[in-house]
Amino acid sequence: MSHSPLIKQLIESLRCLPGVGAKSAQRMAYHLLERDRNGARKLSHALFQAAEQVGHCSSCRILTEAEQCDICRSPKRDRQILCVVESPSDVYAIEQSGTYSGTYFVLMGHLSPLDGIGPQDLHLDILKQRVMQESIDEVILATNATVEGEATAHYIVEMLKPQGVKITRIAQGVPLGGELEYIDGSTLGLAFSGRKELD
Amino acid sequence: MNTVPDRIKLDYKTAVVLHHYNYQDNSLIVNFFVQELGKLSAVARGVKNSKKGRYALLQPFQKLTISLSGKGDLLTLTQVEALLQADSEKWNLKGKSLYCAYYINELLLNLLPAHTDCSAIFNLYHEVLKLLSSHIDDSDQDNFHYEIPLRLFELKLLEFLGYSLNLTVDQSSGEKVSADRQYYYQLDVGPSLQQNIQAQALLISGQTLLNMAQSRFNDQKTLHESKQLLKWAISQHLNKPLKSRELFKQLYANK
Ligand SMILES: [Zn+2]
Repeated sequence: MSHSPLIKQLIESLRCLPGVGAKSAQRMAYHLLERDRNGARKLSHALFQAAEQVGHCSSCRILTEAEQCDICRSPKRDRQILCVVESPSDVYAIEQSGTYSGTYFVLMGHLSPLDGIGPQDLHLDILKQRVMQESIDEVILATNATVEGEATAHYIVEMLKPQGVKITRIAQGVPLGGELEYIDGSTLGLAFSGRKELD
Repeated sequence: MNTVPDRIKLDYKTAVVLHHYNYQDNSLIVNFFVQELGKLSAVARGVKNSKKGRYALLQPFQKLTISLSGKGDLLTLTQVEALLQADSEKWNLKGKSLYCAYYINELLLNLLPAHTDCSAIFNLYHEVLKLLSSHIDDSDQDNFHYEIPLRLFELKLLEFLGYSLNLTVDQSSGEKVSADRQYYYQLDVGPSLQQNIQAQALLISGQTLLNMAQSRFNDQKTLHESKQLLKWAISQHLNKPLKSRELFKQLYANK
């Protein structure tokens, strides 16, 4: 049996989701059409709105539809400390650990010297500008404990050195190859309190 | 004559990770430098969700024993573990050393043959990364610690690949290169006292050529001139500019 054009289009579109192959895409499509039309309409509306309106926070680069995200706008955050992480899930993990009250800068990836992913792709110019313009005392580098995370941290250190800001790197308790989002809250708390100053 | 290659099964080979990239949702494609076999690529399935730390093992510069099977250009990784090694053998690549090591990996990714015994260059690779690891203080003003291992590796890699440079014989006169003369170096032939205006040539001192012939890169002039010659020679064998070099330039542009 072949699907009608609209159903076929839906199945093919669902396959853009991670972990979704032809079989599960078909199951999802039929579920939505047979059992949950209302859910389908809601999903389509939510997807459309998010895809059209969500962009990056102008100061930390995290995803948001506002000019600035909640964390950056919050009067409770300590604006003298800035923590640099690779992904939004890292922000989530650190927030969960409850050990940090400063602001963030989210790279949305890491440098990858052999793939040509460079400082422009991570918008490091925005990071540099923030350090130059805001009164930031300390930049905490919380990139992953991977080789790429190390390469990225080193680049940022070299870039920010002339600004004379204190730069620290979280290290303790983060195993080699460790990605922040997979590390539990207490380990992450230790990693923060045990951060080392880089020179 | 093209024949379909037989199924390959390789067990417990010593290897280093040159590069990896994401493949499908949870897998990686890993480019390995296998001691006895050169560059081989394999899919490592499901490693991104693995709690066994296999993802960490498959990062660049990890020394491993691996088993591979399959056929064609893309094999499947069937076993991987960290190579047991003494602390003194462990690499500690940080800062500039790490960027230099990335450059070396990119050279190998582009130039290393497959299914060829590459033990000689594999051993040199280990020596060079060890040298780079021994120096992790970026504030040091001199560049010897980074430049010497890099030049040595480039020179030996060209030799290994069969692209040895003629460093000792003046190609127009047949005389030995003399330390106190300046030579016009043409890539395919070598040094000459006479300039051939039709051919592209690099002006280089006889002393530098003789130092290179003995793998001696101990002074700034030799380092500087040999860098130009080796960069030119290597570029002849690359299809595209090296990305790690671009990033390195951006990083140290003001230094
Ligand atoms: Zn923000």
